[in-house]
Amino acid sequence: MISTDAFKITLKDLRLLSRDRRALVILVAMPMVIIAIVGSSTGRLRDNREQSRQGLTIEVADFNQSETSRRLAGFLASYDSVKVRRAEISNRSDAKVLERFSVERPTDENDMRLVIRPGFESRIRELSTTLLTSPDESTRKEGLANVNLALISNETAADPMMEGLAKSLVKLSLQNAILPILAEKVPSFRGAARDSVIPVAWETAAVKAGTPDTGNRVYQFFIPSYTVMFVFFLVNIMGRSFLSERDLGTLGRLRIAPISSTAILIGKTLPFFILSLAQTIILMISGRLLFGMSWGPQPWLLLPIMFCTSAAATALGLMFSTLAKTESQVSSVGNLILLSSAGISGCLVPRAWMPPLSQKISLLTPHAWALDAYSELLTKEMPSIAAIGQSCGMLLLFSAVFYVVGLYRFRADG
Amino acid sequence: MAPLLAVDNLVKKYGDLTAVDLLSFDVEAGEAFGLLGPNGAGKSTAMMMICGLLAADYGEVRLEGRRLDRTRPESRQRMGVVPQDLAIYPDLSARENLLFFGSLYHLSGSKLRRKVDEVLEQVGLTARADDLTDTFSGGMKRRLNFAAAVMHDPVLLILDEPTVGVDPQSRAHLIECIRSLQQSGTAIIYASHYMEEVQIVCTRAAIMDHGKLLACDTIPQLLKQIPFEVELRLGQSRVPEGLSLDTSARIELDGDEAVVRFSTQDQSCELALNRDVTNILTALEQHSISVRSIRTHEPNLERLFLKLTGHRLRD
Repeated sequence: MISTDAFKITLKDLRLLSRDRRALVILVAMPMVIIAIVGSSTGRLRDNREQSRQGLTIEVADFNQSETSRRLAGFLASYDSVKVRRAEISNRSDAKVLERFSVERPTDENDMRLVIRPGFESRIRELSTTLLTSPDESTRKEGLANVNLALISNETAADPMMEGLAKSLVKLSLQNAILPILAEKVPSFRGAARDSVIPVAWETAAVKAGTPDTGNRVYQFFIPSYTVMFVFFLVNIMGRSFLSERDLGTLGRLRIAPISSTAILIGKTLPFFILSLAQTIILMISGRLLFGMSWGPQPWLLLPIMFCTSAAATALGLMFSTLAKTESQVSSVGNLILLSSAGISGCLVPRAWMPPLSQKISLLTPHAWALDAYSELLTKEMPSIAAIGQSCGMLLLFSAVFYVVGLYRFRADG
Repeated sequence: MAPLLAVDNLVKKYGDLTAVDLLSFDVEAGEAFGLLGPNGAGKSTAMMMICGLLAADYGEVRLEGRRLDRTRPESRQRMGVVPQDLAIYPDLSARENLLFFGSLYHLSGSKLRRKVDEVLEQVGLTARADDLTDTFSGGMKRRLNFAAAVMHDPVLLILDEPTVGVDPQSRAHLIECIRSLQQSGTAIIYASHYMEEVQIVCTRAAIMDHGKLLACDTIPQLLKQIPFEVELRLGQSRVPEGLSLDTSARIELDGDEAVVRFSTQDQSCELALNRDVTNILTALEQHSISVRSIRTHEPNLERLFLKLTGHRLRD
């Protein structure tokens, strides 16, 4: 009987929600727009999806054509997220050509360009043993230019993070590339030099066959983060719906009807749960179609994550609805809760960037557990079902606590 | 035989304020019972406790002999409530509103749809049935508010100030609907501070003030407590010394004008009233005193309330 009565209220609320354009805009259109804006600011919209899928694309202009320069490019190409392209150089001895490659930014297909200048290998040989054993030291003062290297970034990809990452990868590759030269000077490095073989011929390693589709990495973070954040925006919309029902007097009419308060609460909560699931599904499908996002190696695992996240969001909405008394409370307190929990949880800034204490505090929010589950599924080649299960379990625990408080408050009010 | 509704010693307190103080009354099946009192008298609180929306601090309510229990929703199935404030969804049409509220009382399918059509016809909203109620006038919304409460043919209909803010045409329509419902056997509790409406709709009434029941009886019995008064204004300030009137009549000065007032408690004795008026007019004529105006004050609930409480109903 409770389910039948609840279903009647759910149908009524779904009808009302379908006529509430503001709610639909907030829940679906707004996250899409924000994801698109943030995504486009990183230069990773659908047009250059293929490039982005490979991670960092570095064009190598090798004017040195030495064994060491080939090793450098080869080790650089061996990193999972790096795709190396060989630059076509018409005349290596022409200084103007070298100048052009050193000054002009790379084309849109490439994030960075590594220019290996003609004197690269001989400069390496000139360096002292101390500097050779610590290439980081050799490039610290004058940068890569000290060893006749130059790294130029694409205009759209010119962000400090990407440049820093590329520079670090070049330095790491350099460490491996110079091992034979180092072994000539320091015999103890001979073994390491012998073992230091370029993993694949870098010229043919442009596309790594068999590499799992890890999707557009930017959107692997943005879409789940903003989806989780906006799923919890339901709290505001639910608060408004309850308040409106109270102000219209219809909540009183529901209470004097021959139906239980549990049926009323379930009936009022279910439409938002359905809406939340629909919102998440739309955002995930849009993420895949518009932004090239991957659903991970086991896409079916998205379903329990979506379900548990929506359950936690709607239960929080229910609790908030029974606590809020006025429209201004819904607006001010609701937005405060939403924005602060989004910030704490890692929806706005990745949790990995937070200090350890903040990372621990973030676990007090359901958002963080939802993000953990999405991260496990969407960014790992072999997601751990146990880890996803733990996150989903925590989300259900949050849901149960929120629901019990909401039910208690609703009955106490009546 | 037990009454349809028995309200027994209901008490509701908010801190130091006693909103309802030991309220007791019965309502028989098919009876229209009025609950009269000014705003803040405790009528709405009493109504909310009767319909189960508010828990009583003390006392109980029985419907058809069974105690109404707030934790047992099914006990509310036979009761309809028209709340004081509108309680309809503005973003649903009139038909959608009634379909929804009807379904809450376990009506379904063709029976529900037929009942919706019937009730819409009853309240005169058939032509606007599929329009959003947000576009309705205040009176139309009130009629829909009423319709939502009678979808399930309740044996008891509670109306809390159902005509507040309603235009005269809609008010007349609503009162007609209520009378028609009562004639078809539905018991009515009509809470209002409009004593004229209570007098038109109800056969019995209770008068409340400050949470207490001051009087409860049939309307004619209640009105018997108030005399029928006649007032003759003489248009002059002085009356001759030898003027002798009926013993119950008194001559008073109201400003610059002499006024003759007399009253009778027995309204049924029209002959006595005629005789008194004739005698006084004859006496005045003998002294060449002309009468400027004659005014009668019939007994009504407003005057009864004034007598019982010392203040007017709408104060």
